[in-house]
Amino acid sequence: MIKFIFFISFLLILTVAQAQDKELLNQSLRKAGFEQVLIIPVRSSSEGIVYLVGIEHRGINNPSETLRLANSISLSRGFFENKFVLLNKGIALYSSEFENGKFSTKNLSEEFQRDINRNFSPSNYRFNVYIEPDIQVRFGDFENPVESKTAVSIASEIVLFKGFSLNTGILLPLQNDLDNETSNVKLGASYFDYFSKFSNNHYFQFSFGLFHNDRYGTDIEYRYMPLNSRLSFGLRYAKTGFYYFPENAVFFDSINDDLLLANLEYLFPKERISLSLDFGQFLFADSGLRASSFKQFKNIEIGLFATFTQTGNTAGFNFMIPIFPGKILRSNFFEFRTNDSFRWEYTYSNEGEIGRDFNSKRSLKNTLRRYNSNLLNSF
Amino acid sequence: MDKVLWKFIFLLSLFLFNLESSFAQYNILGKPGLVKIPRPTLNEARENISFQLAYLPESYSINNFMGKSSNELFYSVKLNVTNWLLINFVLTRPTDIPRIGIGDRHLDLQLFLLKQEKHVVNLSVILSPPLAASFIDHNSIFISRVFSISETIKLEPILGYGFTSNFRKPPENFNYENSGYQWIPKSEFGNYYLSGVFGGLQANYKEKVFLSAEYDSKFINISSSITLFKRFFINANLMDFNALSGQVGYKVFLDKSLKSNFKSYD
Repeated sequence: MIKFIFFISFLLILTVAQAQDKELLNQSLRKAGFEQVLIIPVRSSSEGIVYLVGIEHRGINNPSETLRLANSISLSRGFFENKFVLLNKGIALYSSEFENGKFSTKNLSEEFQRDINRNFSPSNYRFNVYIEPDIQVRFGDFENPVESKTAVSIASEIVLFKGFSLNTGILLPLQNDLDNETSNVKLGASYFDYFSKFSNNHYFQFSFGLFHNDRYGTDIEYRYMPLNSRLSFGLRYAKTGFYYFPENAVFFDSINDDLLLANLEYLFPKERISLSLDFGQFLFADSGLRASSFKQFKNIEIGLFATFTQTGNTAGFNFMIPIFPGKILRSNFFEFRTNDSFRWEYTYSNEGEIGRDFNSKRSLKNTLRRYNSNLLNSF
Repeated sequence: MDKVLWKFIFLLSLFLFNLESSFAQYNILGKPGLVKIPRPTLNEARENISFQLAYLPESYSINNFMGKSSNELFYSVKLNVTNWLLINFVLTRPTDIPRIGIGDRHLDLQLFLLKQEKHVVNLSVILSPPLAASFIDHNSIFISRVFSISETIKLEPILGYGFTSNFRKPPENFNYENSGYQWIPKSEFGNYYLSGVFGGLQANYKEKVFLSAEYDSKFINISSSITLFKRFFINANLMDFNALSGQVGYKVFLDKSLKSNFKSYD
């Protein structure tokens, strides 16, 4: 009997010790800004139990950095062998393991996929508020060579359930000599967004609401991207209309503009350069093609593009940068920060609507580009 | 003349405060180079983007927007994409010409094709795509070889040729019969930038102190440069032993982790 009690208490101590360990890791990761931390035991090894850890950090725009941060925290807490699963809005993308100074990547088995799904809860997300500038510039007028409209956007992404989120916010206008829109506080881009992965390598996104660039309606995007392939392709269809806010009113044009674009992208992992080709019908029934190249840096992406359509030809550049200083306030339930991936684009010609697009800030193409596992070890 | 020379010597003395970090000297359009001419070597190990503002006095102006000359300011952005490709964007704003809009916008690519470790000489080309048709579009090819005089001092002679015509569409106000793409002599727009043979000699001490002399296909210029706090750089140039010009710039390294993310964890 005494033996039995001793044995039971020994077991209890073991489980408590293990639970404390996991809790410590969970606390440390959450403190560093991770929102989903899903710790699943895999097997035991000579150095302790090996865990599979599902992680999501919405304030870092580079998955390689997210993994590196998670790995260094895990090591410092005594977890020497870990597999990490990168999540995007709770959707598991792939699992990565740090071995001999390098990340190796695999698709997630169905069993662990289920475990991740079971552990996921939208309540793990902090209520986040992020700020970024909203800048529109037009060059070329003789009297006023730089016409601009600037505002501060205060927005939030609320994940309602796995893969599904509401993006909304307000826009505080600062200055405007570009058009005749009023300087009242306005509703910012506000839309529902559903992201899913319907089997390995196939991704899908559906959004509806008021988008950026004065467009509202629906936007559907599909993408085929094997995690370690250099080649990926996608298809996007959007049906939208024009909207804007005149003084004390809302103006909605009818939804009658079709956008249908196919995209083909090839990555050179060593150089971290992607060549991308979009062709089909852009906004305003303008059909043609757009050739772009993107160079990925650690937290920055810089692109150049040229567009050839029925309306005309043009070229320009775009970039994605994190806005300084990053995290401002963070508690267990709330986070206030600057946007980690602010996108801006400049087009040389502003005569005519050549190859116009909208909502490109959060398109599947742009999001998944950085998740290519070939890039994890090349920064 | 004397006054100018004294100013230049004063600027050189600023070197005394800069024995800290390594960098390359940039030319007035923001590329690695001397005063006006570029160099075919890229010795910056890390990928970066740099922003520069340069000033050229009227007598040595190179843009001559729509045939009008003026003191010129060049706002340039240079991006090191890889170790063989560099992209450069230049906005020219003449200071004394009213009603020009934003100014002349120019984009070019510099390719580093040969490296002396493998191919005996360094060879590089600059290509201006005819898309935007700026007034300072230029296409050139140039070679160099770096000689180590001692462990700390290096000399780099550079020789190059700039094409005297550009393949482009003529500008609207220049009444050409054929308005399509064609070879047009650059001199028709007053563009003498790198037209013909150019060359120069650049010396550096530990890649920290740079002194340059060059023939830019029209004038002889000399130059020196300094860096402060690893990122902020200043060039002072003496144009044709006659007038001063200069540039200031700021460099941003692109492959750094964000401190705010990794604070206290690394």
